[in-house]
Amino acid sequence: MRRSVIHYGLLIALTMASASGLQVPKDSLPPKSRTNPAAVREQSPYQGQDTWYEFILKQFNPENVDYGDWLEQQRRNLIELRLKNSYFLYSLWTTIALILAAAICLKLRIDHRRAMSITAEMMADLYNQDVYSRAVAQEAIERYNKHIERCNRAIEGVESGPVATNPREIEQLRTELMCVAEERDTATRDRDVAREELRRKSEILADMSVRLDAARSKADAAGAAKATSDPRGADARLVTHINNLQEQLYAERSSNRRLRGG
Amino acid sequence: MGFGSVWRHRLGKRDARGRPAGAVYYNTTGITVNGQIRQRPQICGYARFDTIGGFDPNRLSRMMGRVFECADPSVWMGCNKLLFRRILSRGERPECFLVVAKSEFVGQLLVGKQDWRSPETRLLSLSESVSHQEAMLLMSIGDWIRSSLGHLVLGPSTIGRSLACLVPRAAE
Repeated sequence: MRRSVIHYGLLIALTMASASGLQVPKDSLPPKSRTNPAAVREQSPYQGQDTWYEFILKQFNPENVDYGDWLEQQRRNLIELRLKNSYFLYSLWTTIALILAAAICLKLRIDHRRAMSITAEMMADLYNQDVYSRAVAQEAIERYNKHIERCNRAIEGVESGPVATNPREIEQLRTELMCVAEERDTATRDRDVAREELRRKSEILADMSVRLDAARSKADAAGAAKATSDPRGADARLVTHINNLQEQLYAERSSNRRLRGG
Repeated sequence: MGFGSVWRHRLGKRDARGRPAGAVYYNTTGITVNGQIRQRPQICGYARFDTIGGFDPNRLSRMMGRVFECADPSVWMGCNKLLFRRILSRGERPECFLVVAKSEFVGQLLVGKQDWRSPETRLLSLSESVSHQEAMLLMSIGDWIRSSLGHLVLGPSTIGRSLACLVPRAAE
């Protein structure tokens, strides 16, 4: 009798537990751990105290929330409700395309502004150059006109006789003219004298060259007489002479070959 | 500056260990004919180097730019001969340079023509075949030669004091 009472009690408890498990709503809150130590402690006939690490863990997580389970649940929700949803994907790609289009428009706008800025600088340079050229041309034209004006005045003066200027200036100009004429005469005389001196020196040089050749030939004759006393120099001359002869022989051979058509 | 294409050697007497000592190396001009170097001498001549004087045939690149004490050029058995006695220390200034002129680089030399070289230039050796030439010359700084490419003057090199090179220059 007593055993059947205990069985009924357990059955009722299990039924209530399963019913209460079915009624738990799936909300977004993190689920609590299945083994609640407080409940266990309440059910336990012994009121044991927590260990030190349980105490520290309880400071960080007083409600004993299972964050791993919560994260997993959120991930599943994300995949099921969003990533597998065609509307979400359409919105995502549309957003990306719009952002790209906006970036391209911005880039084109910046490039256009830069090109316009450079063009404006170039146009400013061209305008400044144009202004400068016009100013220079104007100045040149004015100078030309002044020059032509003076020429015309001079021509008119020549045609209408000498210009009546200050007689003192005329005298001064005549004096300068005479000085210049004298300098020219002096330079001409100096040039003639220098030319004559150069001719005489050339004659002397030619005479000296002839004498030098004669003296050298005499010295060579004397050197040949005492060649035995300087065999090294004679050898060197001989080698040089042989070298020259070798070259001449080579040149002759080459010319002969060429004449034979080789 | 440089050496001719043809090398010959004569081993000296063997020393106590049986190794040849005092080998002599002869350098002269040559040209490539059918892929092989031939002497084809038109003017025969050679430069003689003694290993006993410090010449190292295995390090020719190091021998370039070195100053040698030389004997006067001479003629032996119909060939021009220049004896390089020994290497001098690095500070010495060279009086003459051994110049090897190849037609590939300086053009055809006008050997035998009037004023084809400066009076102080000496032609030691000349090899020729068809249109290829190689000449070994003894030149000082400022000496010149004439070739089909023009007037070439030996000028000091910018690389080193003991080096020189032929530089094209307008004829005076």
